[in-house]
Amino acid sequence: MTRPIIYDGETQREMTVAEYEQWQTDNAEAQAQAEAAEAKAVARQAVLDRLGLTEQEAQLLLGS
Amino acid sequence: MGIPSGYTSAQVVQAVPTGINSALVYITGATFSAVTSFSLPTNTFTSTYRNYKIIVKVTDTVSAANITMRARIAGADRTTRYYQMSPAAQSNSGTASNVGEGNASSLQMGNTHAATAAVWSCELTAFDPQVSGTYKGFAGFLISGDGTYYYGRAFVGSTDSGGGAALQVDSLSFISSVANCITGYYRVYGLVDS
Repeated sequence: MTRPIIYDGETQREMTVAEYEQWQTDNAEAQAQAEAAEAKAVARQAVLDRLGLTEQEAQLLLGS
Repeated sequence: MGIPSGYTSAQVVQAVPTGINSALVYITGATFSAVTSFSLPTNTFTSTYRNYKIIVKVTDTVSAANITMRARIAGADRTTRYYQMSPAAQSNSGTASNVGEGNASSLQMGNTHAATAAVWSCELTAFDPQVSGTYKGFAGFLISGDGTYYYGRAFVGSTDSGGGAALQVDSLSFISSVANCITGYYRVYGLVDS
């Protein structure tokens, strides 16, 4: 398997195994954070819909 | 010194008096093509200068990539959860993104847009990277766009030793979430004290 290419400050080369594992860990964490943020946004919108409020009205009420 | 043949006196470099030195001194720069991450050389930050200016421009040749930044010490990225970020960002459609970070393993530097050939440009200052201290601060701004969508971000970020120990940083890394997608360059300058 070919690992991703990086520029390490001196040359372009393939990631080491350790660098590749760290990169995969970073991406998995970022994906989880993005999904959590998306779920939070969906939940927020559901509450606004139940209350019959627009996003702008919610911001006026909550200051956020 | 006489004026060389073919030149006027206005074209001859004059001696610079003491105290009127250049404020920015070019240290290093590089270009890279279709990479996943890029780093400044080891020991880019030394005790020669206190503060540094870094300019980066990349084009995302594949797809939307999230860009993060890490401090680097002796050739290795610092991945411990001692990064904090306070951004203020807004897109040209009015969408704001001002979510801060704490105890993160890197600094979020925004993303390139979904379209091919999205451009991401950043200028930042590294404060005291080689002066022994607990916190290392970074501040700057960036713009990303693809011709129809743009966003700008001002940011203040830092990394710390955790526990109050001294920390010295000698380089930086910028990392894309998408493999082999960024092409561009960086330039690094030292800020002269006098």
